[in-house]
Order: sequence, then C-alpha cells, then structure tokens
Amino acid sequence: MPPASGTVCATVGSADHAAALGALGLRPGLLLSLEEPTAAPAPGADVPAAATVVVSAATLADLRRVLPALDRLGSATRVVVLVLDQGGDRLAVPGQVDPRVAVVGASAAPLAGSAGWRVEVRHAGPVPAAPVVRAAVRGTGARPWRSALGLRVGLLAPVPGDWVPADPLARTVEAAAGPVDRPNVDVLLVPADGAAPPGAPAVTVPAAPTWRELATAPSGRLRSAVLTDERAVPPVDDGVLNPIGFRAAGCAGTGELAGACDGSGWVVRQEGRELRRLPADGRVTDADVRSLRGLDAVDVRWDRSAGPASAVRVVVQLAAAGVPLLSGPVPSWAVRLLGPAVVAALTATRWAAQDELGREEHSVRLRRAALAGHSCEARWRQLLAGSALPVPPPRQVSVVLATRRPDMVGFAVDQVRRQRGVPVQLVLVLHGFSATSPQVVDALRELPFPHEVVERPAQEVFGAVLNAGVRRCDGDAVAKMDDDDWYGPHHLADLAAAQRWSGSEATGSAADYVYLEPLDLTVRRAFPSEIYAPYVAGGTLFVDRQALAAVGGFRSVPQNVDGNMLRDLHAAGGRVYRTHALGFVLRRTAHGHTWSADLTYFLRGRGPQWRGFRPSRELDADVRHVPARRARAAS
Amino acid sequence: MTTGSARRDDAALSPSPASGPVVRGNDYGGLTPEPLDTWTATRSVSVVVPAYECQETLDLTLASLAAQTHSPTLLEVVVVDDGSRPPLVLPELRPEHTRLVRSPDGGWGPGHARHVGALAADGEVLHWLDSDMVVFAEHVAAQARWHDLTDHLVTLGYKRFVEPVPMTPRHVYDAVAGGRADTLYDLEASTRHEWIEKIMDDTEGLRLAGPEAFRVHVGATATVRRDLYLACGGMDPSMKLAEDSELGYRLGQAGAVFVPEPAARSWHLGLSTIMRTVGVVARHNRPYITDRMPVPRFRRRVEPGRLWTVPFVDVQVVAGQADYETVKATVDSALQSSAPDLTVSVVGEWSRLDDARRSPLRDPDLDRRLVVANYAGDPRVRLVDEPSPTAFPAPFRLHLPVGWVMGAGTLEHLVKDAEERRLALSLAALPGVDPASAVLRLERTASVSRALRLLAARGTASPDPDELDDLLDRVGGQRWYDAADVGVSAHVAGDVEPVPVPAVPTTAAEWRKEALAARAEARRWKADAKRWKDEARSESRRAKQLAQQVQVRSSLPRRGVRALVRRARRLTGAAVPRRAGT
Repeated sequence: MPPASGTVCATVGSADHAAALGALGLRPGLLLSLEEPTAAPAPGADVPAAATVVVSAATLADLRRVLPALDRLGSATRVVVLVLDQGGDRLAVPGQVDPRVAVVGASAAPLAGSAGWRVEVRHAGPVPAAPVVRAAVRGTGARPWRSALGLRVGLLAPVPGDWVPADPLARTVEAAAGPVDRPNVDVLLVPADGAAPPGAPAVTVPAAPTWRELATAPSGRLRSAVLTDERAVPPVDDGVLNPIGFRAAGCAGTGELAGACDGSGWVVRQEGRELRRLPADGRVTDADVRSLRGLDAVDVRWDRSAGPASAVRVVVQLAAAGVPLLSGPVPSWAVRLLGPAVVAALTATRWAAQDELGREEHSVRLRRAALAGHSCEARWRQLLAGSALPVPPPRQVSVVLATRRPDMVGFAVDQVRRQRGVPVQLVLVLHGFSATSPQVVDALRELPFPHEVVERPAQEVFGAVLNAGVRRCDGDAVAKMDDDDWYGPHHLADLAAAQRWSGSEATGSAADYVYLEPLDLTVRRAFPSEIYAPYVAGGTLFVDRQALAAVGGFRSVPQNVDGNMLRDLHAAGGRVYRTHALGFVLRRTAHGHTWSADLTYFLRGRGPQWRGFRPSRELDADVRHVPARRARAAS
Repeated sequence: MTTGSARRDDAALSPSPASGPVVRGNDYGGLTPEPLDTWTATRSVSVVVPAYECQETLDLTLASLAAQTHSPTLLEVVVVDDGSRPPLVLPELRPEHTRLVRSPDGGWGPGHARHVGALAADGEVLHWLDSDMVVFAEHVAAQARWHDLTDHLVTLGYKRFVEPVPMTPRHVYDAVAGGRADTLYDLEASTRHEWIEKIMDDTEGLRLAGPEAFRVHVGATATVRRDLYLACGGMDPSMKLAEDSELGYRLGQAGAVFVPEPAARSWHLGLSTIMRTVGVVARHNRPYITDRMPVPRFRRRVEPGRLWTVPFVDVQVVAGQADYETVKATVDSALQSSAPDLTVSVVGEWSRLDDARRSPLRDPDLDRRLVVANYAGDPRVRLVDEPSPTAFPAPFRLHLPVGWVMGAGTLEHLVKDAEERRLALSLAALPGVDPASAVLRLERTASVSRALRLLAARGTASPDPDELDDLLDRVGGQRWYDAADVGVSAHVAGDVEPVPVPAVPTTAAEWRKEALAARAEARRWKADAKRWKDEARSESRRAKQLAQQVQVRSSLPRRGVRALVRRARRLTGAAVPRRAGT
C-alpha cells in the first residue's frame, strides 16, 4: 500500500518508461501497466488518493486506446500525462475537470531531448485522474474522439479499448460487477467467448480464426465457416493512423513486411536491415508509421507468424495510413478479414520505379479502401448492422455550385452526379440567369439526390451569391465546386474522410493539376499535400457547416472569396487540411485562342507537363467531358 | 553566308517503309528480339571487314565467320584491302559468299575502306567487323535479328581483348563451329572494353543512356541497316581515326537507337589502338571530333566563341513577306545569343534574285536584297530557299518566328532544360498569338529524324504538325515555356537596333556556377585518377606477393600467376582515366 503522498505510474505501449520517468524526476511508488483491460481499481491507488498520478504512453495511439480503462487510477492532486514519441499536431493544456476543485497549476511542454510531450495539471485537492488524461488526449487535436457513432460503449473485459480509441465516454466493464449501469452504457461489446451480463444490448466481437483452426478445418464449406469477415479485426484508429505526413516525393527503396524469425510479431525489413518491429497483437502506432514514411513501398509477405487477425490488422492499419503496400495474391485466410475492396486495392498493378504519381495513386486507393472498411465508424456500422440500436445516418455533404454560364451547368452538374460514397445535396446557384433555362432543366433531370436551385441577380457580388446558396444547405458539410473544373468520383468522399481524420474545420486540395486549354496541355505543380496548410484551391473547398456559420459565412466581396473565408476560419482557431490533389483538375481557358500573360504562371513551375488532357487515373474522367483536341491550323 | 538548301541531311529524311514501334530516348526495352534458337534469318547481312597488312588474323576472322549460325545464303562478307603490300588474298576457309574489294587509288584508312565496303555490299544489314577479331558462332545472328523489329537500330557486339596465341584457321573454325569459341583464349587473362562496358553497366545496357547513347559506337563490332547508313551520309573517309565515333554521332542524329547485344561475343586479338596509346590517340582525335560533334558539349566549352563545321544549334527563321528591319531584328537576336555556337538559316526566295537592271530604290525585292547584303560576310548566316526538315547533322534546331526577338540567354535556357530533361521538343507560347499558328520551337534533331521515319513508315507524306508533335512527345517528351519567361519578345517596328547585349552575357552568378561545376568535374577526374593508381598499385603488390608465394610453394599453377602479373602490368600502364569518350 503506497503512502497517500505517493506517486502512481501507469504505463502503456512499449518504451523505456522508467528512463523517461527518471529523467523527469518522477519516482513511482506504484508502477502498473494499463495493457490488461480491466475496470478493477489499481491496488491501493483509489483510497486514499495518491499525490501524483502519471500516465506514460509510448505513443499517442497507445494513449488513445486505454482511455476506457483509466477509471481504475483513482484520484490525485497532480496528474502528469507523458507521450514519449511525438503525436498530434498541437498541445493544449486541459482545463478544470471538477468545478468544485480549483486548478492551481497547469503546463504543457515538449520533452527535452525527445520528440514527446508532457502535460501536467495540479488541482487544489484530489480529482479523478481519468478526466484529466481524456482532456489531454482531446487537446492533441487528433480526431475523431467519439469513435463509436456517438454511442456510449461498455467494453466487457477483456475486450481492449482498441475498439473505441480516444472515446471519453467508453468504459471497461467487469462481468463480475453485475448488471450493466444502463444510462452510462448504450451498447456492450462482448468477447466471442464471453457471457454478457444483463442490462444493456450486447454486440459480440466475432472470434478471429487461429492458425490451428485454419489448418485443421477441412477444405471447402467447413473451412469457410471458420473464416469471418472484417468484424473480427479491431478497427483502425484513424485519428492517428491516417495519411497525414504521407510524402509524395523523394522516397527510396522498398521494404518488406514479414513475420519475425522468432515468431514475436512482425518486422519491416529493407535489404536485410530491420527498420521496424511490430508487436504480435498487430497494433501499429503513429510512431511506426512515421518510421516507414521514407519508403517507396512495403511488400507484404503474408507469413504465418502471429495470428491471421494480427496479420490483417497490421496490413489495414498501414494501408489506412497511406503506406504504399504491395502484395501478390492474397492468401485465402486473409481475404474475408480484409474485405474485397482492400484485397482489390492491395493487389492492383504495381508502378514503375520512380513513378511517384503511380505510387501516390496506389496509396490513395489503398487508404480509401482500408478506411472505408476498417475505420472506427465503418467497424461500428458493421457491428451494429442488424441490431436494434439506432445508427446515425452518414454525414451529408451539401454542394454549392454557383455559375454565371448556362452552358456550363450540364458539365458542372455531371461532376456532382458522379460523386460516390457520400450522400449529396446539390444547391445550384444561378448567377444572373433563370432556372427555366433549358440547360438547367436538362441538367437537373433525374438527379438521384436532393437539390435546390437558387437564382441571384447578375450584379450581386460573388460572396453574397455563395452565401445565398449556403443558406439552403442541409448537410453537415458544405463543399464548393466550380462550374468548369473536373472532379473525380471520390472527390467529396475523400474530402469528407480527410475532414474526419484530420479533425480540421475545412479541407481541400491544391490546384495541382491544371489543364491549359489553349496549349492542349496538362501541367502538375507539385504542391505539398497531406498537411495542415493555410490555403486550398477554391474549387475544392470543403468546410464544416457550423464552422462556416461561426465565421459568418463568405464575405460579400467579388473576389478571393475562398481565401478570405479560410483566413477568417484560421483567425477563429480553426484548422485547414490539404489532402491529395489527384481528383481535381483546374481548367484554364484563353479568350479567342491567343496565349495571354495571365496563364504564364502555370508554365513557370518545374513540375511535370503532359501533352493533351492527362489527369491522374484517380480523376477517372468521363469521355464526354474530355476536352476535344483543338483543330490546329497549319503553322 | 552560305547559300543553297541542299545539305547532306536530305537523304536522312527518305526512310524505308518498314519502321516499327516507337522507342523513347534510347529505351529499347519494349523491343524483344526473337530467341536465337527459334529465329530464322530473312534479311541478308553483309559483313564488312576493312583489312590492312593482316593476312594472318584475317584468316582467323574469316574462319570464325565461316562457322556462323546465320544462314550462309543470307550472309556475305566483303573484305576491303586498304592497300596492303603484298595484297591480301582470301584464304580457303571462309564463308561461301566472300568477296575481296580493293580500296580505290588515292583513298585510304579504315573509314574509307569501310565506306568502300558498304557501297560494294549487297546486304540489307551492314555488319562492321575488324580483321583482328574472332567471333562466336551466333555473333552475326544475335545482332542481325534485331533489325526485324524496326529500321533504325544500331546493334553493338561485345568483345574481350586478348594477347594473340598462334593457332590455325582450322582450329578456330572447329572451335567456333563446335560451340567452343570460349575455349580459344584465356578468358581470365582477357580484358573487357572497360569504358564502354562501364557505360553499359551504368545505363542498364544503354536503356537509360538517352540522347548520348551514340557515344559507345566505336566501330567493330556493330550492325546497321544499309539504308540508314547511307541516309546519314556514311563514314567520313577523310577521318583516319575516330571515324566510327563520328558515324555514331550522325546515326544518332538520324534517329538511331543503340542496342548492345551481349550474345554477340567475340575475341579481339591484341589491345585496341586506344588502349595502347591512350594519350596520343586522344590528342589526335580531339580536334576532329570537336569540330564535327557538338555534343557532348563539354569539348567545346573550353573554346568559346569558335565556329565549327557542325554547329550546336541551327536557328531557322522563315522570312516570308517580313520587311528587312523585321528579319534583321529577328536574325540579329539569334546571332547575339550567349550560346554563340549556332548558324541561322533564313528561309526566303533568295535564288529568285538576279542581277538584271532594276531601280535600286523601287525594287519590289528590295527588302530581300538588303537581307542578302547585310549578311554577305557573316559565315553563321545561311540563306536557303527551302526549309530543311531537320537541322541534321546539328543536334538542335530552333524555329524562331520572324518578328520575334530572343534574348541573349533564351537559347541557353531552353537547351539546358532540354538536355537535363532529355526533351525532344521545347515550345514557348507567344503572348497574344494563337499557339496553333506560331510558337517558338526547339527541336532535338535525333528525335525529329526518328519521328519522321516513323511517320514515313505509316505512309504519312506530309505530316500534320500535331501528329509530328505527338510522336515527338513519345520519342522524347515535350515541355512548354512562356515566351516572356525565356526572354522572347515581339519586335517593335522602328526599333532597328536591338538592345546591345554582351557577347557572353552570363551573369556573375552563372559564371560562379560554371566555375563550381568545372571544379567539381576536376575533382572527379582527380579522384578517378587516384582510384586507378591505387588499384594498379594494389594489383601489382598482390601480384608480387603471389609471385613470392609461388617461389615458396611451387605447387601453385604458374599460368594463373603470369596472368595476374600481366593484368597488374596492364593496369599500371593504363592508370590514366579515360573519360573523354574517344
């Protein structure tokens, strides 16, 4: 039993916690591991309150997955949270967690000599440590933080917190503790072999097959009975395992993902050199991903090390993070666990060496498939499918499409019509012409999603015109699309996903691809992507509707409407995230076919150029929309 | 000023109708020749062997040729006696169709002899072979099969240099025919053609060599379609050495793709000329090569401001109906380029001008006459009646639209980028002009020649400019620039004198950059030299140690040691870097 003034240290993830604690002068009276999910109080840590509770996590991913099990830490006057390897893109000091107990000191600082950080809060008296840690996790900026579709999840021990990363309302529940505390638990996640206590609807995690089961099951029907689908694999924590930090250029060498020789997990090797070791449970952390960012690709060997679910888990986590994985034929035991989309993306055509574009396209497809099948949101939809629990509908996106040109309405509406993977509402704003124009009537015929048409007078400034459209939006997010640019079918879905995992208020792409009509030329201006950046191309603006409303919508100005809005958003503390630019092509035309000086800007870069209309394969351009080659006069 | 539109490139543009797939740069990876064991020859091959006072080795060469797997009915050998005394004779052991041709009086040298042989040859494919080589049985077939794929390939065989060992033609024949050609000489003691094979290794067998692939064309052993050979003008008989390198340059400009064929093995009896006397040979060849080969550019960099037989760039200005001042402004802007290694071809109706009595001031041809008078003394300006399709043999052609003036740095800017990116075509859009009607164009001659051959093979007599540009994009790549960005502007009427610019108006920063590059180059050379010396020293040390061990332990085979000592000696003797590519 530690003295009341003692220090309780809880650790998670594999790192040299003792050294880190020592460096900070923290001498734990009690050291416990949070790896075993249990709601049982730490021995001696609850009564009486410890003076200090320290939670030391190897990475942010580790910290996010143990939130449900923190209640056992009890109370303390001083709570210290350590993340030993950098995580999150910001550091915020948590506020008061108990209105009755004042905060007497709080700090947040990077750790000296390492990439990690430390958050510390002192209260006037003992407060529960768990809320302070949860607030620190929220403060990192990494999202999402309600991972189970907004439901309060109870995890029946030993189901680990991996199923609800960073969710502050999830709790670990002991079967022995009797009926579930209903108002605090909407749904109970039960291990395959566990018996659910009464009190709340339960969802069972399907058991993943083991090597033994796979090996002993006879082929054919019995064997397929052993195989389960994605639901047996814990979801990807897309708040930390996401494409942020993906490098489109300057990578070298192919690594190889294989089972460790000693059977202790997985190893990423490059030319015999071990780059990174991954644990047998298949947990990948943000630090693992960072260490692999410099690789061109990682070849998946599908070794029978650890378990089948562990192998699949490693693969989908790396895939979701945008690590370009390559694979030969996927073994039959992995096919159903991965899901068809991930299998297809994994085994798609390889790209040539130094083909940075081919590499990026592969990464984009793979991460899209992995996140669509294995993100927390996707997993919870799969788990709850067929249950009586209310499942919220997917977030709707309202597209505001303002145009002055009746001739472009058909083309522009087609760009919206081809969007996949996200519910759309179209708000078509006609700037100076009528909804009865034949082009408008034609374009809106048999539109498979709800739409609104707004007419605005020609003399109204563009910002006001857009605001008129925004007022008619019902979606959770507002996407601005231009009337003459090309959009790939995943444009909106990718932006919506990027907004979710980046936790930003606005997302968009750079205008990387530009088609110069007078030259019949496509240029690419390699802007950095997968970063937080102040600006995105106006035609790709995707903003949270409430955040847009909070800054007062677009300014009523004729020009640079998007830039001004983003600046306002920034000033209000919002973030803008720039994702990949493969699904967007900016069109630049000239008047009367002559080359004009305002286009020279696009020829200045050192980036690649292609003759003709040559977008990324991601754009998947519709032949009807490919510009016809100009009939050139003989020179 | 020189007049007349006919240059020897005209022939380069009448390709034969059997072109094949499009090769980008020198990446022939998309071409796959038929495997040797299933391939059957359908094209006749003429092996051209220049020979001078070498009866003994010639007999061995012919013996090995008699044992070729290539169909004997489609194999002809033309031996050209380059004035040997006593005259050479054909040995008994030789291929069925072997002819002996004598160099005509007056002409001499291997280049001349090869050209004589090529003209005398009947084969569709020419195969250059030297009279001091012994070739493996599939040597001819391995190279000849490539010519089934397309009409603009040059193949290169491999050779190992050996010290000759006395042997009879029959012995050679038996070994080659029996598939034992590799046992004829000691492979361990032979050396490879070091600098060439290093390039091969560094470029995935020339696939990544780009426009400079031609540099490895050093004669024997190599094959080329006879019509491509004739189209590029053939060997220059006036060159006594390095004529093969120079031919390779022109073949490259004619659009050739260079393909090394490792299955075409051979023994070269004795060291090559250049291996024996590297310094002397380099000194001899440099002026000839520098004058005729503008690329690689480093050779001429040290002699700025010079004029050469083959310019680096030919600027073409179509005068049309433009007045004298406009033509002059455009032409002068090119002449004042910071990259002065150029000619300007002004296209107009010059030959129409006669000296019939006229009113000097009211002459309808006045503007044309003023152009002629203005450039009468300028050797860089050529007045031609017809535009030439390419700048052959110059490696680049700049199309400068009349009425536009380029800046001093325009050409250097475009050429630098074109070389770095290996572009076939660089285009600059002119402000206020429809790009479909006029643009500034820098064309790579090698690419245009190849594209024109491909178009001709499709039966396109007068190509649509778009079709040509599509092909140029595929054989090399293209890039657009903005005219103002590269220093090109419209000529303003009345502005007779273009803004004077210094002859070599590189900025201080550019000079500094140049100096740094030169210094880096020097460092590389020094490092190379040091590495060679070190290698040679350690080899000779090792040889000495081995020799001592042999004295102690006489059980070691003596032959191996001798070979090592020989190798060490050669290395010591060759401890001079061979970078010049000659």
